[in-house]
Amino acid sequence: MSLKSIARAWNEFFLEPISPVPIALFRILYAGIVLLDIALLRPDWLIWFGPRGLITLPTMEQMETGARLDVFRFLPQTEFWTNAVFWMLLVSALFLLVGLYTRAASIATFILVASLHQRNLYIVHSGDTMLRVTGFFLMFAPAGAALSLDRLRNIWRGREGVTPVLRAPWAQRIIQVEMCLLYFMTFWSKSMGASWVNGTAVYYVERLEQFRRFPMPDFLRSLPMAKLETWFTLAVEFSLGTLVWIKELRYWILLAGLLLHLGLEYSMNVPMFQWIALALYVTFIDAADLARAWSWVRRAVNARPVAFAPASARAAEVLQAADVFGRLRLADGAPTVESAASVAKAVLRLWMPSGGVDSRGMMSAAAPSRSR
Amino acid sequence: MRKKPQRPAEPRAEETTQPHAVAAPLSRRARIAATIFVAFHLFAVITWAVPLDTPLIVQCREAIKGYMLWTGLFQKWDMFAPDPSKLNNYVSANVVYRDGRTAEWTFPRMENLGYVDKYFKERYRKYASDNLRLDTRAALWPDAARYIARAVATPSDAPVEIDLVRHWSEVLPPGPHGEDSSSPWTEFTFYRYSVQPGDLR
Repeated sequence: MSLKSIARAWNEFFLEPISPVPIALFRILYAGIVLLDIALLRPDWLIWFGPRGLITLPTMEQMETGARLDVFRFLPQTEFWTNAVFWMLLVSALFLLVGLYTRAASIATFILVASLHQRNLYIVHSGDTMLRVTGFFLMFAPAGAALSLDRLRNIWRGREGVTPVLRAPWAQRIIQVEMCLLYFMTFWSKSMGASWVNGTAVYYVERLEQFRRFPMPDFLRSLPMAKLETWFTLAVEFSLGTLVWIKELRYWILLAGLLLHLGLEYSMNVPMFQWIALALYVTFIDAADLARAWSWVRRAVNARPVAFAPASARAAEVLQAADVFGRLRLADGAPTVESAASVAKAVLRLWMPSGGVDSRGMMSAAAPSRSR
Repeated sequence: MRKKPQRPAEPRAEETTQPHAVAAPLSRRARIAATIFVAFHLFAVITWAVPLDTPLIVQCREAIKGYMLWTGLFQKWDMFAPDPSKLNNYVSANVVYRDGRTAEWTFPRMENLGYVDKYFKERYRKYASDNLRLDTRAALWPDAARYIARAVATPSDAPVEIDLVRHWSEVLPPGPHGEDSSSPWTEFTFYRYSVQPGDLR
């Protein structure tokens, strides 16, 4: 090993362009989780973040000292502005979800998510921390380079072709590293605890009534099963923190992680934590495998085709790029797509569950579902 | 300038798996900037997250503390570690009204809520069970007492005193045949607050 080979390996890992599809899919999941998270917080929004809530801003500043990226510190301490933060975050997360002005949306979403956490750190769990930290690195990622309205707009303006451009993955790599840190550091901390080593840790956790969610069968709560569950957790966390980088093992380890988190989602009441952890897994999935999986889903769903007659190459390219469900049919006699408005309408048509063409592929795109 | 209209071939499902055609290479300056950014942040997040407090690590953390706190990149991954808590616990308040009447007020307890409600209200567990009840979080107590005073005040009667009470029961080690047991519930009043007239506004 030489310095040159280390530099080459570093460059290959962090800078060699790869498909932006996995990070774009992570962007969509991330934004969806932020939206669900604030929906869960909304009924008690003013209690957690308001000026007459359970923790006032001066108390927070007294307990958590130092400069913080927190818009609440700059806004008037009123209920109006506390609610305004909710609506601003809702809009920015929606823009991030659909990939419109993606970079600006990711910056706004991160700043607002970080502000919520800094405003009240005493309701934040590890999943929230991961949401905040990965949100920081998502700002630097090419998250709008695929599966986004930005991309369709770029194609329409002639700045991009139908196939997404490969991009340097350094921001995605740090997000992957963050996922490994989450698991490996947890494993490391647990390995210092007697109950994780002797196998009784899960026995205690299962008996904490405040964490209980759905009822667990008695045999799963028995001591021998609790021991197996304890060691299974340690093994999976160690693997997700380290062995997941080995290509041949990766999907098996992600599958074990999926089982672990689904089990935790069923048995433990820690809202959104499991989904945040699972969303990170898509950054480890190869773009070609994602495409294969999606093709399989499309074939299984077998969505009704929709016919259009694009009047220009760019209109055709936008439709092709937007055709995620494989519904697009190009046919003479179908509705002509030419202007930006008609392209937008056609794209919406492609994404709508109803409508389509008959078996000859000639029915109007505007045809209602009675053509079934 | 607009491209000439042309009709591309109909796309097929397999086309989505085709290799991406073009790469967007980074300029030399961008590669250097990205490398410095990545190296610094890997160093920072690993130093912050590692569960060791050696003098060197503590000093490194101190050096990057301002940046980590400001950006929100601070992180600690120790869920149920090194050992999970063995305490079932909750926090309640004893409210004394002006007319001498007393009442008990409790933060939402997850074990008493339905499946949907407990998903919405879990933050109360995090706040009360993991933070408010701890002596190290004493700075939270006055705000909590004032909030409870406002929550229980009625037009006809106002609270004059709020006592915050923590309740706990320990999950005991499994019996010889794996049977469950836990200690009896214990309670302790950890904070007393005299409500001021201005608190209720």
